Amino acid sequence: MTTRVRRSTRDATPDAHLFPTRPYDLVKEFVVALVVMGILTVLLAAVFSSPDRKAVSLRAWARAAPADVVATATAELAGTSTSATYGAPYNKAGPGQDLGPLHLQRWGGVRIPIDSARDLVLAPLHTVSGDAALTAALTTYQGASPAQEAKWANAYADALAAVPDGNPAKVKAGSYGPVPVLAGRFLNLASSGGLEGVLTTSDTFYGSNETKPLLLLTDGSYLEAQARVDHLGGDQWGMMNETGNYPGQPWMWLYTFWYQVKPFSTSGNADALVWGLMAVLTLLFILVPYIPGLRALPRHLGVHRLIWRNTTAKRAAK
Amino acid sequence: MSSAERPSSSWTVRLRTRLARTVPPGQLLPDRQPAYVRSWIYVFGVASLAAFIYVIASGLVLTLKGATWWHTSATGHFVNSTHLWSVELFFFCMVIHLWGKFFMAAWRGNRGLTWVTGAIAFLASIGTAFTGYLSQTNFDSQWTAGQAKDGLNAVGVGAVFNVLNTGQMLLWHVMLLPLVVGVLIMLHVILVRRHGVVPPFDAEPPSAGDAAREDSLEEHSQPTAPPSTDAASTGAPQPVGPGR
Amino acid sequence: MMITAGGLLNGHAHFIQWGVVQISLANLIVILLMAAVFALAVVLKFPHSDDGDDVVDAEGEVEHVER
Repeated sequence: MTTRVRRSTRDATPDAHLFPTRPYDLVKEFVVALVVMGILTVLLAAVFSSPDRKAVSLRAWARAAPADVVATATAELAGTSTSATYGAPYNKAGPGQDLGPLHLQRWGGVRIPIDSARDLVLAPLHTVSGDAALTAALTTYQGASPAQEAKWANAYADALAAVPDGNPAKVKAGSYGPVPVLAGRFLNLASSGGLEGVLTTSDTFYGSNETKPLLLLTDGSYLEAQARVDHLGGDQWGMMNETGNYPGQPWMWLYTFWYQVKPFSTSGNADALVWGLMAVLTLLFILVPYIPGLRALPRHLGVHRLIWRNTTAKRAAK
Repeated sequence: MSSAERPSSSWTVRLRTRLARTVPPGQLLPDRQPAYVRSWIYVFGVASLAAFIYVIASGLVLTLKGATWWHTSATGHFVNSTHLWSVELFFFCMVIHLWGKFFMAAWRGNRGLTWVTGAIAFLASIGTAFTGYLSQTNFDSQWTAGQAKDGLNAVGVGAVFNVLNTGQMLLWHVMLLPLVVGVLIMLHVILVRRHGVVPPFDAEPPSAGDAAREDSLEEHSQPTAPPSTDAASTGAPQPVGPGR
Repeated sequence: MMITAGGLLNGHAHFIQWGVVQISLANLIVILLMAAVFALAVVLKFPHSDDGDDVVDAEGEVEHVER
């Protein structure tokens, strides 16, 4: 190391090694810590266990909320679902969020291209064989113009919304083209239990990427309804919480706090804004030692007087 | 090792010398500490470290039988529980450690980097825990992924760090991020050993008021070893200090 | 076959609401516990044996300090 003048002449903290010392067994302290932490870990695990709320399979979704599956499939075809209108990284259908003048989401680019209608609904339906009505519906649908496809799908979506509980059986007659058949068969496919597989591994043997099934599932309202019961929603301080009565992530308190208050709670750019704000605060946190004022705070707060009240270190006259 | 008058041309010697000077001689594992280190607040650093070791250990056991073992095995579930609670203890102790260090302004005396490595380790731990939640392969993972993707996509990084890709998140969780956290902890601890525990505000060593000592403190950024507290325990000759 | 998680903490979560703040009972307990442990850590006396310790100053002299 080169010798150099100490950068800040105001920080006259003396070298710790010049002070009187006493014996202290660091290794023993470490072993004691290991024993204590080990006992606490095992005790807490034995008494409280850990939460394991079962994943919502697409089959479970289909059985619990069939109307939601039909409505979601219809929205995918209509191009109105969350994923279909998301923007980057899945498509260009939405502008994405901005952080002031910075179009961060758009600048990220479409790096996970997903065509919601094709990839989440039509492609899985194409894997079904021996269903003449389905094959005919698919041919009719994909032979039509995009404008016609949208017209059918939107009309059916509106019709479903007008029915109590969204029950497809109660939908008024109308001009929906092959969409009711497609949505209905999609529900069957989901109920069969094979939909995750088709979405993750239809063109590959090994699948470990759940992007498509998760986008489909979150396009519906069932998963969120389940989450909100446990206060896991974004406007419920959800980032801090855990299923059941388990402690969650209390250290996320400040990150999730902003989502609860204006202007973030009513902004379409909430995620970008909160991230930007937290990035600044995080930087300040990391750089505390170098920030005048902030770094002087502890001296004035005085907690150090409690910590060091038993020491006999001589104090310099102020 | 004593330093040569001129830098050696051997990279090995230069690296060895540099490494040896990272921590003052005898201070890597000292058996004495400043007398002002006398408070329970000082145990939370080592407590965090101990909890971290259980996080790693329980995690290693979980890797033995794969990512979904804990759903169908009572033993696996128990190991998962130890993993969860050691993480809770880790954060519990680490935050108390952080509060203590803040109130002591422990960055004084050239210890800024100690604070910085600790702060980044804290943040990296949050990231590691986050990928852990994504790797549970249960409802929590589904919901967390669905929510988090919006935050990450909003700032353009969601394609590179795809929370919906369980394979990617699992590997980040069990390999990449623990390595990052481990390295940061190691650097953090080495820095603590290098600079020693921060003295109380306005504390002065016994022969304070000595102008010569004040001058020598200002001249050298490298702390020196205590001259001769107990030569046997430090086990090495005590050089006066590097660069002098 | 799914092993369901142990019973104690699996029930419906309890939440405390205070204005815009909404916190789970579990999280609140954790935070209060942390504050309590921090306060105790700062306030409780750290044990040391007065007799066995030699407080040695930087020159190797045993320091006779008032206790």
